Amino acid sequence: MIKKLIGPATSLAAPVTLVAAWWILSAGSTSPYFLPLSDIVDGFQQTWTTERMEDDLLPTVRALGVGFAVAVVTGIATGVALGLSARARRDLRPITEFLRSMPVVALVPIGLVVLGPGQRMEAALVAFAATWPILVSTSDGVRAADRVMIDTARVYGVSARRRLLRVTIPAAMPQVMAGVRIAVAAAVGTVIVANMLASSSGLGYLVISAQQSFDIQETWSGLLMIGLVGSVLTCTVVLAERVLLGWHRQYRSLERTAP
Amino acid sequence: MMRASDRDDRPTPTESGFAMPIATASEPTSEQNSAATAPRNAQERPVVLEARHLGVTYGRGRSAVTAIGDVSFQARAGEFLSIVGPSGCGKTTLLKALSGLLRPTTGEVRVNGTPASGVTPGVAMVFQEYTRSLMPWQKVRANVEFPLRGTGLPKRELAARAAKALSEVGLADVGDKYPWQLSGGMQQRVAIARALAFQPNVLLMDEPFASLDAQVRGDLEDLLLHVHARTGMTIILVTHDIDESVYLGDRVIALSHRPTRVRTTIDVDLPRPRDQIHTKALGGFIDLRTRVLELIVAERSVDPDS
Repeated sequence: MIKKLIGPATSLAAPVTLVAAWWILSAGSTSPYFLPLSDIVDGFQQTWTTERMEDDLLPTVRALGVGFAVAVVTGIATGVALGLSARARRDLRPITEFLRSMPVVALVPIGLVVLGPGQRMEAALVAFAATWPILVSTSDGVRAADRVMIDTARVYGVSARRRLLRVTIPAAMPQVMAGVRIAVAAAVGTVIVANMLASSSGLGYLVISAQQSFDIQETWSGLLMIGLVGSVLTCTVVLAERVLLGWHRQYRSLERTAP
Repeated sequence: MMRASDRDDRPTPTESGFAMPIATASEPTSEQNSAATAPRNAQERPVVLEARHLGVTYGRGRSAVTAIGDVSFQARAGEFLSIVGPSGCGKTTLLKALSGLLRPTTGEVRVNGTPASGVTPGVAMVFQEYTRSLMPWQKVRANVEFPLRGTGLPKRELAARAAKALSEVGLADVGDKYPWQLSGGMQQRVAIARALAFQPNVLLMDEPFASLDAQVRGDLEDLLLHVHARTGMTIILVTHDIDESVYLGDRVIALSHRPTRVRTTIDVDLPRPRDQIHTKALGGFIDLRTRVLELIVAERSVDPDS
């Protein structure tokens, strides 16, 4: 019982200490750029009115959500296809490597031209940026799915479809989820950059326009919200991973304790 | 031309050799009896699985390697067939060809007289690498049920078969654990249970006990004998362990070095039920294992690779 309480308590220690230190150290600050944390928290409440949330938070979150969902679906589907076929991997490699190494920031202008400003363009850029990590790790995971496991299913006459859905993809799941986790950072980064460069609303726009009008308090408020959005998305992915890969956490902890 | 099937038509070994099992069977239950008498009327039993001039060549042209030269044999219903060979003789390749995981370059596999194309129907396989054969994301019960799912079998029947198979291997109460929470020996029992639940025509085993320690191996050998006696299943076991091949089999097929051929077939006329202590102390056992060992050593000394 006590152990159960101590566990979360120690894991909270670091963030709590950090925030407390920030609060105390910044308390007397008179610098216009390094505001006391108490002022930032006040500002956060003032900035994030319901109206502001509808105008600036919601569009960004929507573009992020849609783009990320598209990335998960296309990344996994394409990754599975590439993982299964050595030939497809070889033939498509020049294209995938070229697109993968394209910085998303560089795509903002062309996205703006093709899709116009707004959530559609933002979602498309998010989808593009977040697809690659998922695609690459899914393809690796599928390729690494154990031959013996698949052969076992084949001997027992399990259909190709069931082998794919019940053996190969579950076997690749740990790597798929690792890719999804990496994709979170790429997605959040992309939506903010798109906001900053090519939008007239949204979280990124709010931060950059506040900064340009020297409203430091609001700049901090926007930054804090971006962090929150990123954390919520990360938490969602981690929760999904726990549900889907509960076995894997135990499996790995067992492997680590084994001699 | 000498065909392997001719070997099987050889006169059966002396009556006395096969009369023994019945006389010494300590618990002559009806099931054990049927298996114990198997060798006597082995020639009357139908051929379940037949390899006809199987050959496997990897690659083409000058870099081609012939793993299996020409292997023919028959497995009759209820028979326990051991296949031994020198290291690197392509035992695993042979099992892959028998199961249909690998398409033979020449020859064919027949099941109940019908040539099999693709994966051999009605075959179950137990691999040496149990950790890689069981799915770590599924609990033991789900692993055992897996081959039966999607076959249209009613759920209750499916669960009943899995439960029966698990209790058959002495693991009735671990269905809700993950395979990796079990010891190696127990994991291989789960793999055996999965094969039993499938109720195959033939059970193929690829060095199933090779990565277990000696004591666990002995236990599992006895478990397998017990299962064979109870179910009368046809079993083909590939091993490099000569004692194991003699201890378990009704017949031992000794393979040559690469390109693999059937070197000799030896009838094992040891009484059943067998046990680790008494069977292995029998003069007949020692004679047989010496004969098989001589064959394998002779094969090794002419191995072009060594």
